Amino acid sequence: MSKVIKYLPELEDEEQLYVAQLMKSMTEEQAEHFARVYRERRKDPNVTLLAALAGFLGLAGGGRFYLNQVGMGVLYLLTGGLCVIGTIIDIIQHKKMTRKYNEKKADEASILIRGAFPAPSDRGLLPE
Amino acid sequence: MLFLSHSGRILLLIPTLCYDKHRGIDNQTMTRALQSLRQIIPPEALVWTIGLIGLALTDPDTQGVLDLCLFKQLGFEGCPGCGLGHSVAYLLHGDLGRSLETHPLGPFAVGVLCMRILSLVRDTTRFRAFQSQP
Repeated sequence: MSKVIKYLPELEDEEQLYVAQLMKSMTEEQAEHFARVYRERRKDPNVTLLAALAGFLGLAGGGRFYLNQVGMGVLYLLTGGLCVIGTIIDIIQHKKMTRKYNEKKADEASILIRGAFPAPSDRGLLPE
Repeated sequence: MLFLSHSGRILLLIPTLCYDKHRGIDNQTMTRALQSLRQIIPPEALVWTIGLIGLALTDPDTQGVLDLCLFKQLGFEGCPGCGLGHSVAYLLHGDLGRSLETHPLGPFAVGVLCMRILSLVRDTTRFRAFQSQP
């Protein structure tokens, strides 16, 4: 928990817990690099909510585009958010959708960092 | 309504599996079973699947009993999404021509929704460093 507060203080709730678990076994060097990569890749649930709310103004599917779901975004945009019903579903589950996306990105970032900056304890195991 | 009764039967199966002869229904096991069910089947995937199956079971030639379109109920005229349900239903009954006639995005919608369901299900089985809350 201390590492996530030190390097990624802006995280809250479930996201904070998840990233704290990921960072627990990292070295200080890895944690620093991980925080930088993850901060670039994560998406903000508030932006998802705002983009989904734009569906009421006629531009539906913003939240889907924001979370890289281009196909769903196009479908929402061209059908008025499935007659507003899809927009409402997205507004209700904007936190969960963003969290799932961020967890995926956090897993990817942790694999990337562990590969690029192996911990001293792993270094002996890797071939020169 | 067929699919509703079917999923109802699956839900009834969970307490039956958790039933213990001596202690009755084990609450902890049941909570865990429900949690793992939510992890195996993401709610969003369930919504799209029920929607597609429901449209496959309804007859596209009948006029809908309830109008789900909120644009219409708010008093707007013409909504870009109206007719999509009928279009998908026509396509699932094998009538591509009438499907495109009712709403040109029907086949596109079926494709995108199937891809979305697949990717949601695939995400539940991907590598995870840690298990998160459902």
